[in-house]
Formats: sequence, C-alpha cells, structure tokens
Amino acid sequence: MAKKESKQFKDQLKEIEKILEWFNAQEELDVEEALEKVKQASALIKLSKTRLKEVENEFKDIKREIEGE
Amino acid sequence: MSEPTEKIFTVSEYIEILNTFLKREEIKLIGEVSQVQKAVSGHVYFSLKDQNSDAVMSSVIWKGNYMRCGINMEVGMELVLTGHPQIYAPTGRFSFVADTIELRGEGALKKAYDELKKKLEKEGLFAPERKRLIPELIHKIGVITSREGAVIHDFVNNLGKFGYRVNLVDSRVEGQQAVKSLIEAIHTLKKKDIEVLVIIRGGGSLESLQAFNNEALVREVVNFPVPVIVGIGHDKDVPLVALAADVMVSTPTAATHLINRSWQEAYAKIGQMSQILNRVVLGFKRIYADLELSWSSLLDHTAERIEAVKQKIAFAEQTIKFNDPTRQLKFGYSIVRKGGKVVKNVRGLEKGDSLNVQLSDGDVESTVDRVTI
Repeated sequence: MAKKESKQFKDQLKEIEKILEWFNAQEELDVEEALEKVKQASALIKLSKTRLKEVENEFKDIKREIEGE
Repeated sequence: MSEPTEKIFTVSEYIEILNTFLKREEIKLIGEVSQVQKAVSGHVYFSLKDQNSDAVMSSVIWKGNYMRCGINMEVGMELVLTGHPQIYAPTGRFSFVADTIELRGEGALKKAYDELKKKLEKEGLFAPERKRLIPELIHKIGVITSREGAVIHDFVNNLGKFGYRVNLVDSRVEGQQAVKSLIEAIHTLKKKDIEVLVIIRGGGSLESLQAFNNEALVREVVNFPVPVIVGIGHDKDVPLVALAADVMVSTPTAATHLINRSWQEAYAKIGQMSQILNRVVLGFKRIYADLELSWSSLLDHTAERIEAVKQKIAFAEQTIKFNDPTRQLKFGYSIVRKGGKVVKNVRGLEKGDSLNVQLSDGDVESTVDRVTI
C-alpha cells in the first residue's frame, strides 16, 4: 500500500470514528445535521470498504507467495 | 650289426660346443688386476690373478658393460667379475668374459664412492636448485624395486587408498649386476604415463648398494622426465642415486608417506570444509525457522488487523444505519421541509406556505391550509 493511500485510509477511518462519536454525543438529534453526517459517513464507509478490500487482496497474494515457497 | 660311427668334430664345431657349455652358468671370479689394456674400440682386455698364487685368467669386458660399471680399471685393483669363460675361435685363446666388474673391499669401494660423489657434486647434479617438486594429488606412480622381498609389500601396504595406479617394474637391486637391470627398468618407465618415479630398496652395506652408486644410473635419474623419489635404507654413506633424486627418503615407507601427504591434507581440508558447510546449513536452517515463525506471526498479525478494521467499518455502518433519520420513515414518520430546511415546529408557518414532505418511498409537495397550535 502506498504511503499516500495509507494515510488517506487512516484519515477516512478517523473521520468515520468522529461521526460515530458525534452521534453518540447527541442527546437530541438534529435531523438536518444527522442527515448530513449520515451522508458523509456513508461515503466514507464506501471508500473505506473499497480500500480495505484492496488491502485484503494484496495481503492474500503476499500470504500465498510466502506459504507457497 | 655295424659299430657306431665315432663322431669327428671340426675345431670350430668343438669350440662352439665348448662355448655353449661354458656359457651355461654365470660365474663369479675374484682376483687382482695384473695387466690392463684399453682398446680403441672401448673394450677392455685385462688379466686377473690370485693374490696368493701365480694363477692368471685372461679376461675381457666389452665397452657397453665397462661403461655401465663406472669403474676406471687400474692394475692392482681387487675385482669381482661376473660372467662366463669363452674360447676365442680365431686364436684358441681361453678368456673370461665379464658382464660386470665390481670393486672388492670397503676401502676401495669407499674411495670410488668419494671420488664419484665429488665429481658429480662438482657438476651440480646434487644441487638443491635442480630438484623438482613432487606434484600434489598424484595417482600415476612408477615403482622400481625387486618384486621379491618385503620392500614392495611395505610400499603397497602403506600407500593409502587414494586411487593410485602403480606401475611396478621388477629389477635386481643387489650388487653391481643390478645396474643393468635398474637402467632397463628406468627406460621402460620413461615411456609410461607416470607422474612420479619411486626407486626403493631395503638397507644394506656400501658393497650391496654398489649399484646405487653407479654414475650411469645417477645420470638416468637426473634426466628422468618426471620427479624421482628414492627410498634406500643405508648406513653412513648416502647412495649417490639418492643424492641425485628430487626427493630422498630414508625408507620405502617414508616414500609412501610423502606421496600420501597431499591427499591426506586434501581430505582433511574437505573434512573441515564440510564441517563449516554443515554449520552454515544448520545456521541457515535456524534462520529459516525463525523467519518462518516471524513471517507467520507477521501474517497472523496482519490478518488480525485487517479483520479488526473490517469489523470497525461494519460497526460504523450499523451505527450510521441505526442513527439515520430516514430509517424512521419506514415506521410512518416523515420529514417536512420548508425552503429546504427541516421543519421542527409550526412556529413560522403560515397558510399558503409550500412544504416538502419526505416519506419512506418518496416526497409529497403540499401547501399549508391552516396552522394550529
């Protein structure tokens, strides 16, 4: 995984965590803001899932190479 | 019945019969040289007489044999001749034909030895700088010795099992008569494919080792095409052939040690190297085992990390889904917006305002008819 992509991925996960913390912190949900946060989080989750899938595939390739030797 | 006819011989026939009879056995004759005549042809005619009587034997030694013996015959020398008598047909003269002559008496032998040693030394035949090195890891060996006796057995038994190919040429090794035999053996091995020549015999006195103090033999050894090892047991005076050899050893067994040495060293080196190699292989195996362990722990760790992130994302997805306000729409709730903003209470609404109502499966555009608090 390239450094830049790694950082992006980490940032995305941090962003998601922040949104989750925000939801946890709300005693009374602001619908307008909640909708916006859901929108942001959904986009970040989608990107993270794609990136994680890539990482997982790369890992599987490496593992296969090592174990095959 | 007639009488058997008596055979009548001619002189030449009779001399021939006598010579055949006389030649049957090799004789050794001892005496003092009383007269010497060295002919232009190189043959040497001489008389040998008893020291204590007047008995004289006319004798001759042909050029080739004389040269080979390496003795400068002089009146007064005590000699032992080996050969046979013969009648010379044209003159009827009876004489002794010597094949070899050897000096008798330690004193005479020692004198001859010292003189020849001095002469050859002067020529540089014993000089260290002309000695050749014995090649290492040889396996083609030429050996000259007597097939009889313990020497060859000692040699063969002590020669290690390094795949040697020994070319043995049997030779006489005792007394002056051995010179001819030794030179012939050298000539035979000169034509063979060998890497080293080994000449060996057991110990003996100056007299019995006479052949190895022979000038012709020394020159053969010096000029031999491959290095020569000479192993002759001796008392005080080192045989001249040994001095001329590339390497001189004191016994036939020592000759085998010399030949074996490079092989033994090579085997020892191989042993050491294989030990080192074993250690390296073991080291590699250990490193490989460690690596395998660390690889597997790295892999496990990475897999765990990926799984943890995956779960984190899944958890986030669930939480977001749970907190998503639109999820409530399925239960009959709706979101009302005025001018794009969510309407949370009726304050600020008036009759005629346009409202957007979002339901679970779509939107409704509506107008306010009445506002009630």
